[in-house]
Amino acid sequence: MAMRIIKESIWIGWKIESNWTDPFIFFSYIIVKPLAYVIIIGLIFLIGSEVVNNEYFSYSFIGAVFFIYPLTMIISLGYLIHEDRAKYEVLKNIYIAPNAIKFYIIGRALASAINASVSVIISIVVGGFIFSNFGLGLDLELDIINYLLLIISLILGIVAFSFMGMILTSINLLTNKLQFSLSEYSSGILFLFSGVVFPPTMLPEPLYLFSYSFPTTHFLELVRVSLNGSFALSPLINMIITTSITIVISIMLFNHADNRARELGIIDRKAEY
Amino acid sequence: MNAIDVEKVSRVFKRNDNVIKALDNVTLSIEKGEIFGLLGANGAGKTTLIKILTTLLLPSEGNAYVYGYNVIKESNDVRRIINLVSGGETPGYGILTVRENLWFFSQIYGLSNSLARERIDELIKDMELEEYENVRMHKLSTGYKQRLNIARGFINDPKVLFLDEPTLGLDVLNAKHIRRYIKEWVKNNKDKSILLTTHYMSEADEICDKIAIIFKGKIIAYDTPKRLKESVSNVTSAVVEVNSTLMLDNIYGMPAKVEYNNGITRIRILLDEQSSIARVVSYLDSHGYNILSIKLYEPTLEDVYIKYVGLNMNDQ
Repeated sequence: MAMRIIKESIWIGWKIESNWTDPFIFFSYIIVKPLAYVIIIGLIFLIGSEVVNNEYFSYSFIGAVFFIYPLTMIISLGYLIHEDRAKYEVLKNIYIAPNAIKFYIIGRALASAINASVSVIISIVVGGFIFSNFGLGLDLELDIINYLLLIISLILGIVAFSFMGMILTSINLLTNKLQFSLSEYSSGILFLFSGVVFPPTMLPEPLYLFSYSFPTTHFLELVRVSLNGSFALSPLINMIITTSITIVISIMLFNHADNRARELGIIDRKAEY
Repeated sequence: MNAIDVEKVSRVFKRNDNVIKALDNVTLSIEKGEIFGLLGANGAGKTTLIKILTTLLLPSEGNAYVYGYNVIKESNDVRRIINLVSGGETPGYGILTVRENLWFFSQIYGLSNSLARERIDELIKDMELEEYENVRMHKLSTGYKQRLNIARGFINDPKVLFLDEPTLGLDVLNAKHIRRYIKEWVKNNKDKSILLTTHYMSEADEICDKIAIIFKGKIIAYDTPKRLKESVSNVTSAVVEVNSTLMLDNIYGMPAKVEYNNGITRIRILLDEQSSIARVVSYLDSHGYNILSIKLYEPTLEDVYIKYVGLNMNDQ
């Protein structure tokens, strides 16, 4: 049953995010927006750095590209409750089906992960090509990539980001005022603290330690290690630990929010504007 | 075991300094194979009770059971055997076709592919949606959207179906189709039950086996439509039309409901005895009103409602 719900939720997620308006919007969101974001990161580096440093460019570029996963998934899940409750008005019908809502959220997260994968691949190929013309290489050799570690990183990352997104759905279940800001703030904080464009060690100590509580930090580190063709146990263990903690916190928070929303009678509450 | 047992359920909503008692010590039972109607004005507590029974809301006090499962502690077991259809709401995703929407919900309920296909085919046929099965939901008319909504409600073959004003805003034909389907479904499935809320007295009278009237969160009358009507059989209902505006809620203590339309006032009065019509005529005449017509009726559920609540449902 869980697999059926997840499968259908991926399908509906794909339908909503790809077809709802028209192919132009889909093209903008899946290709142009992420590509523009990655290119901006590269251009800031190109203009702001006096010395061209391929190693640092690769660090920033790979960080920015793979940060598309948490960015897309968190933003998508941050809007999910609001959209399904107020816009599509289907939330209560999904909610009253047995055991459905959590698997539905996971399915929708996976749909976002598929969209993010398309964006990541296009951003690497197109972005890498554009910056190679400016003398900036990606230090990316396809034959040395540790593919097994890369796949493990992606699987762990997608699991972690799904449950991070579920934390946002828990909060949004209790309010219909934060759906816009919450996603933006969360992804902004993660961007700052996850070692996307600069190593977390550059942060002051308390913040540096804070950055290591996020699965995103370890995910990006693992991706970089795997793309360099090496293996490191420490980020893998850290990723597993932070992902596990995220899952536990997320489920506890969701169960609490679910119960509280039933107490308050707001599961089917419409927007107040 | 009953299909539904509600035991002393109360529900209080607190908003800022306001405390609203939406349900006040409600107790009722719905038997298997029964269509149960809950009548009440807006804000009377009908939807609150449905939300509690469909696990969308927790009661402040009391307990409720669906097929013996406690709606508070065994919500997942309750969800396996229920479904809910609300009138005037979107039945699914606008981007999906009728068939795709039904497929999505069949999978949400974990139906196997073959069973889902079979049931969807059946529901599309029963709801006469064949012509629209590949049309996106957002392109359907209100009536066909509601037919889809009803089909969605039956997708998991629930033991108890909750219908919250299912014919709200529908034209006569669509409403009639839905009423007939609901009636047939219970008739052909003796262990299935329906809890229906409605504004329409005639709808409740036509399809419900039992009716409860809810007013300000309290059940104030609860019986079969026949017995409820018998409770006002000693009165006659009169409709008098006069050609000017008139404000009253009773004549000589007899409850009256007043409607205005194009300068004509239509007064529905529960007469304590048929001869009282003479007193009504005399009253209106002495106050200078020009009587256009007088008709006498057998009591209906509307009269029952007027008797118990004192006002017509739409006037509250």
